[in-house]
Amino acid sequence: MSKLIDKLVNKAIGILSRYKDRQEVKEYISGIRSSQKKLKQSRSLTQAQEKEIQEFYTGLLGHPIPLEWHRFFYSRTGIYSKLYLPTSEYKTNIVGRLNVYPLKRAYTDKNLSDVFLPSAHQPRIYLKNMNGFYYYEGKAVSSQEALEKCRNLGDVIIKPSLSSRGMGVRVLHIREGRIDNGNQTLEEVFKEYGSDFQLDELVRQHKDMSALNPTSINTIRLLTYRTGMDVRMVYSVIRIGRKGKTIDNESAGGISTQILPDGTLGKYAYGAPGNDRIEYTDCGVRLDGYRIPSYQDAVEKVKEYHLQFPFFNLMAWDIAIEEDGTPTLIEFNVTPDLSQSANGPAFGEYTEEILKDAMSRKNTWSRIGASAMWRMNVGSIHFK
Amino acid sequence: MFLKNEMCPEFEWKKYVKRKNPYWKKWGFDISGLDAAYYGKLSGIEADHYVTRSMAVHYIYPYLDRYDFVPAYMDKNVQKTILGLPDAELGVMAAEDVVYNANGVFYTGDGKECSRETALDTLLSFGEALILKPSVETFGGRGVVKVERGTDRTEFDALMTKYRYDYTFQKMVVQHPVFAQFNPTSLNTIRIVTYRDPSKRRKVLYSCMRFGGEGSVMDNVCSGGGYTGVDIETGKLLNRKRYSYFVMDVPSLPDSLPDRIPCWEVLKAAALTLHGRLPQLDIVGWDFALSPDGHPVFIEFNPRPGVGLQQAVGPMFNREDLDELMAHVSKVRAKYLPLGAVRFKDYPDRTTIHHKFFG
Repeated sequence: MSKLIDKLVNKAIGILSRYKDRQEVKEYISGIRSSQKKLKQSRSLTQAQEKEIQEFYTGLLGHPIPLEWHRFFYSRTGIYSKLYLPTSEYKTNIVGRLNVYPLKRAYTDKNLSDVFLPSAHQPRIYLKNMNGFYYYEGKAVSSQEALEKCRNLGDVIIKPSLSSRGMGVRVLHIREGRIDNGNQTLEEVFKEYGSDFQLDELVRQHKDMSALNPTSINTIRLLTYRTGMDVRMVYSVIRIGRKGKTIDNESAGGISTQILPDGTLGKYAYGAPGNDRIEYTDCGVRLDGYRIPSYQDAVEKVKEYHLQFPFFNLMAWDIAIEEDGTPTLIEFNVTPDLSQSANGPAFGEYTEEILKDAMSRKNTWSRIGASAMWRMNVGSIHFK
Repeated sequence: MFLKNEMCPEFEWKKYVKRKNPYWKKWGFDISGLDAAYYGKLSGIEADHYVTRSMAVHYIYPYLDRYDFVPAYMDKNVQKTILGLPDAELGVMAAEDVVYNANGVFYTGDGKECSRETALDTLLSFGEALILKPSVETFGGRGVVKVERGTDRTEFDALMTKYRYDYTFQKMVVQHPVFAQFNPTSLNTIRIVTYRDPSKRRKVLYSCMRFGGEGSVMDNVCSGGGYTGVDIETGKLLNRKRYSYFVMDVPSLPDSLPDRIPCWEVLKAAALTLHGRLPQLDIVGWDFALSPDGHPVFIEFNPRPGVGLQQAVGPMFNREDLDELMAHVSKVRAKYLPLGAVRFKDYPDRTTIHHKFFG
């Protein structure tokens, strides 16, 4: 009897899982359609192009794909390619095969980045809050001690340790337990963040990075793919904040442009849909040909780092370049968003290889257990 | 499941199966009185607040442990990294890896990635006996084998092929002579379960000494071994009985065995201190060996310790602690867990993911 119940429950979970996946795909498609409406120009795909795309993807994935993303990127950049990757497909069918999704949370907790990558150059972490427990420079402290130790830290970055896309990242000027650049006490800020956050040293970036926009830490985003012992650079982009903004993410209006293999920038940057083909930063720096300092160093470093993460074959790395040219690891991501406007097709020349690799593995994303737990935990953090 | 997999068939289960447990009923759970009767019979401690497996797995552990972290934390290849072991300052050693495999990728013991060939070279050049074990889900000592000195390249290669991924070749741990008395052929370990209560205080819930069967390498019951309860205040063996599964008539331990766990306070302190390094887990089962000079040797930790050891030690929580905990669990239950039992039961743990997804 219990075997029968188990079977029925598993079947119900399978149905729920597939339903959730379909809902998710619908949400992505709805999102890209809404973005398409914000573009200044709309381009249609020809029948031949649509056929080419579907033949390509059906051959690799076993099914046709929504064409919204190809239309969107073609409209936005003027460049057609069959290799653009739909976000719906990427999120629900690709990344969960390349990466063991249920392990994501622990490995991408920013509070553990110094544990998993002890040799990586990272901003100094003053304070961690992990599940409500405070650690000051690695030692467990009470909440009172944490407040006391941080009361005159000066310029720091506070950020949630479990979020991405720059959400919740703030620069704080802490003096005498108060935030100089806000009307709050430090205690109020800690209360606001609740649990799972950290206070980091503010990175002083290289003058050539600062020139792009001095108010934000402008970071390089590198996407690496691992196959066996070989780590490939799939693409890299630079993210530049807008004038007066402190973070460089698109969510804060930031713009991205491609970094070419020689470390120079591409011609155009892209921000949120509608902010297209930007040639100059808000500070008037021309992007085309602008050289990123220590770019090759940054590439070599992330390839080294990726070897420490055997459960994730596709990873994105955010690197800042410090004043002295040292690449410093800000964070890494195992379900990274793809910068296809700035860079072009996500996987580029590696598309076929990566998709074949992905399809040879099972999907660790779409099981209701993993995704339901993920959702439950994202919603509630934990059950307390 | 309890009836089929965990209970000795000689137990008169029919007398108890239909009775409802009044303790759990008080909290709104419809639990049979069977588990409490069984554990009480074996431990000699009659109580109704024994934690059943279903309560632990479906309600208590999900409340206490961050399940978003548990899958990664169950990987033994990563546990030492997370805990910062070995820790000379704390005086805690750790079983050393010679070569390990994580998700099909090889690493030498110092954490450097290497090819399969280099891994084979490293193993051959080590030259001593090794322990080979999966890094995930070694319940019941599954997959733990001794690799004898003199194993050749072909044999190592065959083992690697057989284990496929997520395993480690470790140096044999030399154990304290008192631990060795329990069974000289196996690495005998002490299980200490620590708990962080709602006031954030860490405490030891219970402890058992586990030892292998004659000739066995592993200390698990499944290999013919046994376990015996340890008094958490004094380190003395609780009742000097040798427990194992499916046995009602529990024999006594030989008189020649010590009556106390050596370095008990050191072991306890190690467990409690290390628990402080796991802020995402409020209940942890620690397995330590003991070195000849009295240092705890970390073997592994378990985010979801089994409840079966209650046979030897009595209820895993004292009543006050459990009441305090259940007051919180019950509030959360209504909000988050209407289908909790279903979801958590089918939550894919690491091994399930791997073996289901990679064949």
